[in-house]
Amino acid sequence: MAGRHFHLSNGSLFFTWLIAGVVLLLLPKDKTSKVWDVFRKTFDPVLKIGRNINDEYPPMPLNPDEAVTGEQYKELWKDYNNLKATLRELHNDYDKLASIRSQIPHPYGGLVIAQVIGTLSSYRHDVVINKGSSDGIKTGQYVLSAKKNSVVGVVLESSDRYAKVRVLTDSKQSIEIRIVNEAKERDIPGLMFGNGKSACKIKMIEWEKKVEVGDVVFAAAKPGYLNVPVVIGEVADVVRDDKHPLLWDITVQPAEDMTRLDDVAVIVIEDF
Amino acid sequence: MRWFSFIIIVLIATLLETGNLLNLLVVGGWIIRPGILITLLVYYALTCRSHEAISCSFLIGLAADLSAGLLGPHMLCYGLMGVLLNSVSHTLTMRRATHKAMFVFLAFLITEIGAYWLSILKTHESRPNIYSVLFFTGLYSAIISPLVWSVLSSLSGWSKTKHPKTQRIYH
Repeated sequence: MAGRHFHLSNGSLFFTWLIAGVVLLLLPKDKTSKVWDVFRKTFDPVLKIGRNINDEYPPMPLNPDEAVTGEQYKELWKDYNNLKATLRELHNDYDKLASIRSQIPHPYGGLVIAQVIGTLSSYRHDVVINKGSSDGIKTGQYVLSAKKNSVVGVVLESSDRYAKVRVLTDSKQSIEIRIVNEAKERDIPGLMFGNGKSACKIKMIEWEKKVEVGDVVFAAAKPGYLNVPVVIGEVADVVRDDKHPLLWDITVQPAEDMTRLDDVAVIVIEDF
Repeated sequence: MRWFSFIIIVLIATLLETGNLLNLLVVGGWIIRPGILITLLVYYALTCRSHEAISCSFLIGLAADLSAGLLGPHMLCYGLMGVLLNSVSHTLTMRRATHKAMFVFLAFLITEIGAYWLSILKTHESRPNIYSVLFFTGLYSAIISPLVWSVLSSLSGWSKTKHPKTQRIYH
């Protein structure tokens, strides 16, 4: 009888497994995680085969309060790049200070908050703001988005109480920019034009210069108007120019949606 | 049932689910990748005898727990789902790939949501967007399940000694 085959009924077998599962569930996590550790260590070389996405995708935060919405991410992205640009400028200034003892310039001069009160026509990308020369607004001054963290346009002309702002996507608007890729230590100056729709174009960059999708585009610092570079957007497409094959045709996607401007801030540098 | 062969198949599926190899198939910002073990559960629960199906289901659940890094929740949910599927296997015909995919999708959603709730009981940690992630993972797993199913069918002679008692063909 000792060699008799031991047999459990279906019900007994099911409840045995069920109890085992409940016991495993009730055991503290630090106890059961040792089994998992042994499994990981044993098969580590096999588990590593393939594509490691931990570096590409940071782990999802466990607490929902730690996650941000897409809109908040966009704002943080702009703030982050602006802070980095400001930091770079401050570093440069610090280096200069060590030798010539000049003053560190402020990131912005004064800011005049204004409301967009209308557009001039449907085919031009011009908007009217409710502040004018009596508030210190002059032609050529840079206009930032409502959160004051990305350049959206330039003051075209101003009257006593109103000013006309041409947004960067207007085909007649040009602005000096810098295409920056900090990881690859690239900083390419250029001139950007609006494409008349929702994006901008950079054309006069020689094809030998390396430009990639995702490079950050900054409005270049301009004495009296902009003391430090401020982010505009990022490179969305890079192709050879059809008419001039030795040049790039670069498309820039502005960080701000130009069709939804509500409140803006004009940079007014008083001591210029 | 050849248990050694079964363990090897489950081990390979567990390594696939845990390791980086399936990351080659990742889609979307939520890092959606297909599940293999759920197809194993449905396959073995529907094709094995009751006695074997019970043990198979709990063992596949244990493998899913090892893959997830938390022992208990999947074992219970997979075990219960396996027993449930086995009990209705007499009335099911699964000739079409769409039927298999649909069953895998439903089984995945029910077991994973159950396992998620049990894991909250154990760890008190909730995850954002979990239901969307589970939905799309279930969909992805269902899409590739006919392929996994056919691989398992071709290995059935290696892993099983007997045909299912209903003599139904589930290919």
